[in-house]
Amino acid sequence: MSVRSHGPDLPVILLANELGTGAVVLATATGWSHDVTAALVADTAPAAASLVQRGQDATAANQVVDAGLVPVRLGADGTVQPLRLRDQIRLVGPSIPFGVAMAQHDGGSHVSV
Amino acid sequence: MYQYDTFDNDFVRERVAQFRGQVARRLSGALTEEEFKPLRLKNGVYLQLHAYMLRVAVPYGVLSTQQLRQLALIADRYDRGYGHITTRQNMQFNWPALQDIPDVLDLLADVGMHCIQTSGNCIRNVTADPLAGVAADEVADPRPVAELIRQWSSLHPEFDFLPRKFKLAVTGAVADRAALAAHDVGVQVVRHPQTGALGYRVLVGGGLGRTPILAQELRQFLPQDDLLAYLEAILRVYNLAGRRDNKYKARIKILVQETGIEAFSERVEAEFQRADRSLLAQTASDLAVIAARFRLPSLAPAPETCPEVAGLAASHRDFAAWIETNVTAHRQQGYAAVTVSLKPVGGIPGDITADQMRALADLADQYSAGEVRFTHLQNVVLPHVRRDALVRLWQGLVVLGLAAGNAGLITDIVSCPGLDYCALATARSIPVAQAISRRFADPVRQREIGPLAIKISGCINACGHHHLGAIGILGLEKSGAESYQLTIGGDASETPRLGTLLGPGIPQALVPDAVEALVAVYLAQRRAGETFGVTFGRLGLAPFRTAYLGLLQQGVSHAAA
Repeated sequence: MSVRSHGPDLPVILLANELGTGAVVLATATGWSHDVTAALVADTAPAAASLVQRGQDATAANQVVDAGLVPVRLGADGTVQPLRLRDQIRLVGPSIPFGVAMAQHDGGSHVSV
Repeated sequence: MYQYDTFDNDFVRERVAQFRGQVARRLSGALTEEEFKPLRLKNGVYLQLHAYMLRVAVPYGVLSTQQLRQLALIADRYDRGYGHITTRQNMQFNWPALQDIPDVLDLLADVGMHCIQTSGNCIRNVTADPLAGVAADEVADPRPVAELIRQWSSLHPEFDFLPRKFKLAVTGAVADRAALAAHDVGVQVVRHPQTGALGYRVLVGGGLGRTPILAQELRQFLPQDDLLAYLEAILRVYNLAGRRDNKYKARIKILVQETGIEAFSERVEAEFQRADRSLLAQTASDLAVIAARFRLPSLAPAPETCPEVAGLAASHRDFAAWIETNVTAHRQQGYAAVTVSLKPVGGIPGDITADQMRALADLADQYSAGEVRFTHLQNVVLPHVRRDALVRLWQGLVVLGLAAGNAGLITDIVSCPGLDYCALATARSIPVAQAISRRFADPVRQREIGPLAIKISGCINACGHHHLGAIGILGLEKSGAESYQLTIGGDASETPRLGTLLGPGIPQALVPDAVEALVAVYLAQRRAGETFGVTFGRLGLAPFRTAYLGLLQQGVSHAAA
């Protein structure tokens, strides 16, 4: 089972989707988490290769699907932000309010009866 | 409306049980993802950016209020309280867990619904005119034909592993409200010019995506009894000759283009001559049984004119606007088909909350004989509304935030989910739709502009049908940034036309300005009564391209692909 790797860009984190729920998870030092602050950041090629192996192992163990390395930038406060918009959205969710939140903020479409 | 019989119920339940076993084997690891993927796709299960996505089939867009309430229950219990209506009249849920999906499918089966063949390389949901059965201009109701095709194509053993997806649409009128030309096969119910017998005009080889091609006429008149045998002939030729070496050249549109329509027709006719004649006899009797399920509901006589409607329209601008754009003539005097716009200003095109679904079901029970339609323009139609109930219905829709009087206008935008949801997307589409919607929010201005179809796709796959937009918008990724190409002059009607590229791509922030520039050209040069599309047809590309390129010189631009 292959895991998507991502060229020479470093540092990287490993994102995947939980097999059973589809929820996005990140590889941490000890397992997987939904919490981006717990993400294990690989800033060397061997560390990135280790993350790839983690993804392959978790895929083979039927824990996750669609595991892949995601290049990130590190903020001064240690926050992790993916470089690509696609990965940002995958990590934090849609860029727009949706569902009930959207219906409650519908741009002022209400009209008086 | 069609009701499941014992066979249908057993069929769907068996499929749910089968998929439940497949999910269990996937979760246990007995099936790998590679083995499971084609199985889950044929049960409408995608893996998107944030979660799995489940696409529920709504055959030809027709559903009962019971079914709509069940979709609301599923949205609340297994999703995040909302659903999305697609450009193929289906409903999508964006957040279900794989482990819950078998239970969701059981809930769907409880009300005669399923997710079978809503994805995968097979025959997909058959779509139809959302005004089927009620439009005054119909030759005949296309829904029985759509249902016949649905039954024939469900788990068809020969066509379950096609080279690629296969989409059919059916209409019953000359006015094409189902975008036939964009489908792999389009079926139009017609009368024989000499005998007056009902039959079908068959189109083939349409499709959007990275290689948009309009369908061509394959048969000017096909007798009713020949429909399934003829469709089998088309599918058989495609199944045998369609490319399987290149996913991007595997649709029937490519086969027809590379073969030529005459040669393709000869192959189909030759295959048709070898047809199973017993199937021909079956078609006529099946169609009669099915058609009996689609009689108009019993609609009591109602007045065509209503002082209450006229009075409120004279005094209330928003109601008057809604009457003008969202209310369509019904074949029965005193009734109307009402479009419920799911495009509130600044809203997400096609999204509807569970609460709105339930409330809309209540309104449909009260005012529309319990029937609801999903349209490929991502709106809802209540097909059987008494004209003397329009005021009360509108008041009910106002409470729900679903009373936008913008059907067919510039804010009635069609948009795929785009990069906010879709794993295939290259750019966001929803924020673009929202920005344009807010820019043109003024209802007076919308009416001044008149009918103008904006369609937005978040990638080359064109699920937002941007090629057919009067203004089409395609979101791409260029050098790590979102870049939007605009096309102009598309037409999804019975006079189909693919849009023409205006120029280099532009950043998201410039898109509303670009639309403004195009609208300005139209308003400055239109003749009395001309719609945007007609003015474009008369003027051609040049003035619109000049305005677009002028805008680029003022702003930031990206190189075109």
